[in-house]
Amino acid sequence: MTDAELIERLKAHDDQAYREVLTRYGDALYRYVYNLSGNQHLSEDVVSETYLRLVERIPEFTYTGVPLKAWLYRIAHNLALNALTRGVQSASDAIIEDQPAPDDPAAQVAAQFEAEELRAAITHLTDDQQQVVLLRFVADQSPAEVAQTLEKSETAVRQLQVRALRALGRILTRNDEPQPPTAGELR
Amino acid sequence: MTMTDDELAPILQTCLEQLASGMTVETCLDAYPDQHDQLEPLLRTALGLVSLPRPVLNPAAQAAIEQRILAQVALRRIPVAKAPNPEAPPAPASPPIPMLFGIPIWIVWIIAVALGLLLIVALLRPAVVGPTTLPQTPSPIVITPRPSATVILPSPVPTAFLRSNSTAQPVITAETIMQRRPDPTGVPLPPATARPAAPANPPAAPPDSGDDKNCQGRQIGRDDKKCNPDKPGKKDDDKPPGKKEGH
Repeated sequence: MTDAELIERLKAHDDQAYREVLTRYGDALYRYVYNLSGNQHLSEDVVSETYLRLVERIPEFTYTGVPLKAWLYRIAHNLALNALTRGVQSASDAIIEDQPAPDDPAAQVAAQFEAEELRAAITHLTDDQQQVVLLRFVADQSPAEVAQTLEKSETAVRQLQVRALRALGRILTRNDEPQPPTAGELR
Repeated sequence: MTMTDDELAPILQTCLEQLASGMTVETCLDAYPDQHDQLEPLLRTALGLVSLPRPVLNPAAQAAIEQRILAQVALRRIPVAKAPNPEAPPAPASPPIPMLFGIPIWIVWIIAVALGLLLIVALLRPAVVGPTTLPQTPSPIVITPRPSATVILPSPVPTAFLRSNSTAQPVITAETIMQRRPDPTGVPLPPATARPAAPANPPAAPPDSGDDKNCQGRQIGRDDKKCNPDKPGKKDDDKPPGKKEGH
């Protein structure tokens, strides 16, 4: 089913079309929001709210060739940022639930630590850089798809990609450097 | 050699595509030795992002979201279900309201009747009111030719009109009043010679009662209720009720 057909059926309040959208984009949206927020419950709420917005706004939606998922990612991103701005704590409270039981617990913990560090670094990027990084490397979108989602040119997305990766590298390197002792530690 | 972001962007994209297809970072770096130092941290960071955990919605949450969304969809479907059936016989249409120049005919009728009534009233009013109504006389003007005498000037009603009107007020000129008033100096005045009014209905003579005495030496305006011969209610009783004088 193409996006155009899917949107027509969504506008006709077709249950099957809504199930199709949930199946197609549910996990990808959840992963996107989870890697932005690091919070399982917040991510579930954001995904649920994203679909509610879809139900509310689909009557006014005009298909212009831009994929439906681009619109969904934009909604999810804004909702997630709003939730984070409201002060919802970003915490990796579900990472252990979501992963299979590790064969090597030490390696698993190290991987979790690195993932958490990387996720925290993402939150220090600009809004555009965050979206480019998450859409490219978490949602597995091509530069062309990211350009559609962000309504930017493909060239701009590639430049944003360079700057975002460089900024992330700097943040991670700075975090790896030994921190100067605090006043309490000196005593 | 250091490259700008614009120059580096396509090379990075090429390397990322190679990594996605299974090539190693080193292979890519070997392909671009001049950009090794710039490319390597970017590619390592990208690899770290790709290896981020990929959690999925747990089935219970997914089912709850699905249930919630479908409930909302069902709510929005209700108005559609209640929409009129296109196959049902059409309801009898109400007769169209006749229009005149874009205005409903009943409004035109109301306006026409109102205008007609106004026209009738305007035509009948002179016949009923006109002949018995005199033009309103303005307030009398008081002049004092002598220190002790008060003279009441009549209204500037044209004499010809007064003569032709059978119910006209008696014509009182300043001369008449002056001749009727006793001279405070004690010198007797010559007999009064009032100008004759219309011959058919000679106007009633002004009262010679004590009113004149009361008015002697008074300024009209201060006690004009007693002295003003044009006092309303005495001579204008034939006016339609509710009409006020236009002084």
